[in-house]
Amino acid sequence: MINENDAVIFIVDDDDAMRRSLAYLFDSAGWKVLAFASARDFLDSYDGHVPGCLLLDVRMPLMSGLELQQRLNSSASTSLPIIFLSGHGDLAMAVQTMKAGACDFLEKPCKDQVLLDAVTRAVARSVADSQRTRQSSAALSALSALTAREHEVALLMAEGKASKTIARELGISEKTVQVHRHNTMAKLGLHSATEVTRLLMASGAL
Amino acid sequence: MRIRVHTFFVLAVTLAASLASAADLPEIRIGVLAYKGADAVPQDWSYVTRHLQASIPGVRFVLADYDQAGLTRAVHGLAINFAITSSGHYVALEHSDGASRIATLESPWTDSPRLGIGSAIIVRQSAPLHDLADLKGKNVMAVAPDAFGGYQIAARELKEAGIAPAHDFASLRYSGFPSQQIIAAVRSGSADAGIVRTCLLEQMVAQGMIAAGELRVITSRPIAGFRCATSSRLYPDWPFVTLRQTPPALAKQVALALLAMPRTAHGYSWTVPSDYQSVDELFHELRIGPYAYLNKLTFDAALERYWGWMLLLLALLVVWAIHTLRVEYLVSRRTQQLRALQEHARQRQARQDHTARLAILGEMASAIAHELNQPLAAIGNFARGMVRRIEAGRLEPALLFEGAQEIATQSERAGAIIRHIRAMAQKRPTQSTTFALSDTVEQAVALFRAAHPHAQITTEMHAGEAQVLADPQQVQQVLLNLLKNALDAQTENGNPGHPVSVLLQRGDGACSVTVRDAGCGLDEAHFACLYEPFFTTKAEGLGLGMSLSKSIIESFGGTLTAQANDDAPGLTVCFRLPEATHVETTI
Repeated sequence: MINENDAVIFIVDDDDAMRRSLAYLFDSAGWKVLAFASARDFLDSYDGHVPGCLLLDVRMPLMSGLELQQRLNSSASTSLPIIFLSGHGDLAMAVQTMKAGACDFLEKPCKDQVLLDAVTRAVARSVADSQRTRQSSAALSALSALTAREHEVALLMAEGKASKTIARELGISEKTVQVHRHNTMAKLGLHSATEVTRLLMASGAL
Repeated sequence: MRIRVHTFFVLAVTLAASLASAADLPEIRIGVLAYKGADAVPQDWSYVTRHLQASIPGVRFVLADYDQAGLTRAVHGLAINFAITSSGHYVALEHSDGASRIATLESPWTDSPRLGIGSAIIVRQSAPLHDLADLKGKNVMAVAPDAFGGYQIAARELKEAGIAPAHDFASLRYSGFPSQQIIAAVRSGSADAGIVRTCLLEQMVAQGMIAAGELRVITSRPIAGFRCATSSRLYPDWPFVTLRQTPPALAKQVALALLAMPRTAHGYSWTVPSDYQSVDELFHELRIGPYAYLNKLTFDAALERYWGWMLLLLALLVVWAIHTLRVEYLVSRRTQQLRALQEHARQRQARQDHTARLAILGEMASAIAHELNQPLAAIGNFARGMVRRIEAGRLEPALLFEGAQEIATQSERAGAIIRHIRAMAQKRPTQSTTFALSDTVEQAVALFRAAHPHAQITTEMHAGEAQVLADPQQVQQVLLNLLKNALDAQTENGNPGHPVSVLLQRGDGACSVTVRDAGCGLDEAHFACLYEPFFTTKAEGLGLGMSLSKSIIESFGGTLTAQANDDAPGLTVCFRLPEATHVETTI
């Protein structure tokens, strides 16, 4: 299971003092921190799977925070929540970043509690996302072990239908349905129809 | 000149003297005004020479006939000794040549020689002309402008009647002598009216030359003792005139002889000289003869004669005066407008400079405040981080030390920026002092580095302690502005880390500071507007930096130029300030 202890706070800010101070603050609050002086450095080292959040300065030379956000959005594999930090308080820019999916837009300097709360929220979202992603992929790999008929039976079971109803809908005997049902439970390692329903939901099939 | 010595008289004289002796006798010439023509002279005047010849021995009297101009010339030329002429001509000669009368003619037409001659205005009997006013628009003929009875006397009456012959008559022609031509012209109808001396008509009627009642004299007034019709008042009859060169003894002899002369068969005789004052008055009134100068000089006369031209001249003068006034007015108004414009421009420039200073200060302050934000935020983060560590009981000394150290560093950074703001924002008038340009350049670069920690600036100082006379604060402001531009241009170009080069040099009595960047540079169109206020290529710029920098440098007698780098992209801006020793002491 993934939890918040695995989360990493990524900091990208071209101002050394700002970057170091943010790292210090989050370190003091018990977070794991990775700080980068430029968007390019961050992209070079980030693999896209670590949960956490990204604290991003809006204005930076070469590649701005906005550009980095667009870059991350275009690579579908990651869903790292982004908190923007701006020294300018530019409303138009705030709107633009939020529309592009930013988690938060904070103005420098801001109270440490506000910053830490925002980070906590973002990390929780990231962790939940990661868990969901992981469960979904696990469910999918479990479901792949079923035959096509077993898959059909499992879907109808998830709808809460009785074996007799399933047999009539599929045009097979109730006994055969019982066999498929047993095999499906065994392959998935589950014990109730409710659990099957949950698994199918996690896989996205429902 | 028409001079004819009448041999007739000479022959007549020889009847009383021997032929030989007569030819030897000195000749006394009497000039006669031949108003009826030369042919009438012997007939009219031979009795005079006959009587004189008989009365005065030892000389020979000869009649010489002239027209009026000829007679005048004869007087001037001393060609005659005596003259018989019209009263008007005599008065003219009296004024011009000192002629004097020794007797006045007594004619059978009048009882008083003082009232012996006038003008008769004759018309055809049937003509509808009765009054002088009726002559307006008619063709009139007179003898000559200087003929006394044949024009001048009538002219006075016309003038008094308000008639100007030159304007009011359809035409005014002069016949000259003999005056009988005028009678003929009126008879034939080629003239509507004629001006002749009185009694001419009566003489011609008496001689049967024309029928009585064929012609008549208009405005004829009866005058007691005068037996001719006259259109005018009367003047003394013709005088016998002696001239300046004539010996007084001879003149006396002639005068005595004339007065002693018995009345002729035709009723002519000579009496004591009359009073010619009335003639003089006539001349004066008409401003002719001796008084012609009045005519020439008087404004009234000129106005009367040339009123059209004078009016035109006056109008031109008025137009010219108005034009001159208008030009003066326009010039003064334009001058005023120009002054107002200049004053307005000066005020606007001053306002603009002020605005520019405020704006550049505002821009600078905004940038610096942004910079200040960073250390403040960092200090807050470190402090809060330390608080959290202490609260959590994580008291690793190294980490707490690091936090405190960072806080100190950042507060120093903030302090430097604050000092910078204060230096820039100090409100004070321009103060020119002598200072070493290298110190100011170093300070400006240090300030800029503090505000822009990433910026790379390389400096080369080759001016030693060269002094300039200017306001160091303002020069610093210019250099900061140039550095900011250089950095912005390089950021725009994607190479903010490229070193900006600052070069201080000395030469030709001036110090120059050159700032060279590797930024985006300027295209030609932008180059042209580089120093224009409010021209900018930056999204957030006000476009005042370069124009203000240039005006600051120029206010200290320097120059500011910019040129594209020829070997690489980017711009090189250079300002020069004269060295203090080369500047006049007062700026």
